[in-house]
Amino acid sequence: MSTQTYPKQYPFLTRQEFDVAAKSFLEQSKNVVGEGWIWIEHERLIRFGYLSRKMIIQKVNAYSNEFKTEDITPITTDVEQFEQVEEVEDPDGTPLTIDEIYSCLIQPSRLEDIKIAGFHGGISQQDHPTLLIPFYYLHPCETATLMKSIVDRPRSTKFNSDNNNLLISLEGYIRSWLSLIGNVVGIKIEIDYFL
Amino acid sequence: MSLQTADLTSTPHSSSTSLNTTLVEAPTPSQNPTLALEKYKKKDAAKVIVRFRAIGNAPILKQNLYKISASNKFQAVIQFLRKELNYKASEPLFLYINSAFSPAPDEIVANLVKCFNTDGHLIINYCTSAAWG
Repeated sequence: MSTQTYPKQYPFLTRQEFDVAAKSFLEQSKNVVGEGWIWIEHERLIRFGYLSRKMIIQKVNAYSNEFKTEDITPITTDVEQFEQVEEVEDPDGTPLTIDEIYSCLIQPSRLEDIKIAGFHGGISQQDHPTLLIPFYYLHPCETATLMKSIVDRPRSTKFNSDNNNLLISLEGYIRSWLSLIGNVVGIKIEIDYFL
Repeated sequence: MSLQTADLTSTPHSSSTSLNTTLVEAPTPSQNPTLALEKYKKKDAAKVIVRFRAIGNAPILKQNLYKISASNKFQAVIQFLRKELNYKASEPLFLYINSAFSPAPDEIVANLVKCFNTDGHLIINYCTSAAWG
């Protein structure tokens, strides 16, 4: 059994802890056919890399395809949050509008949920933290809330006290987080990640 | 999207039957088509028991033990729980198993039971935390 380490300030990760979590996710992805995740180092800053993969997706009710780049990257340097950012563009390089993102990328069953989140929906556009070019990103503000909630105690009266240690390890953090929120943008985490 | 089957029925915990948790397989061309169809029908009818467990502030179901067709996709379980909780599509609801694995909606329940069952049934945790914003 491989060694498990845990975030010192769960659900938050330090920059170093994110590196461990991301590298573990990368190893897990190699057990799943066709995942395509890679680690990209920052051009100048050591250990400021991020996870990335490129996919081709088909527009709904259209005859053309889109190219989607998905990155998972930290957005702060101290108490870390990280977010999923996406660049989606037509084959000629034209970025898609937010309405096209909602219509082509978001799962219909989650559309209403994400459109009414926050002030202007759960997806916005800003510069990629490392590449400094426009990317769409899922708002990360509730990431900690979600990751903390899922390790909360069951509300059953038959709660087993042996289940106290429910924290998610660094090695399992990315796959769990992505399985929870990735569905909304069509990212599927296979069972093989957890076997 | 409507439920794929109408097989989600409540069952008392004490009367739980033994499980047939075989994987859903497509008949191979080399098999007799009739036999293959019969085999598929038997597997399609196999039931598994799922137990819903509320986490954090999530509302507790009056009845948390259900029998479901193993061939159902996880999407059916998600929709069933939303209906039982009377939750709209816009309200956050996350379903996950064991070490915080949230299956994709098109994952087959039989596969989940095979890999993650506890004493023969599948424990599905659910929480109602916000996820973005």
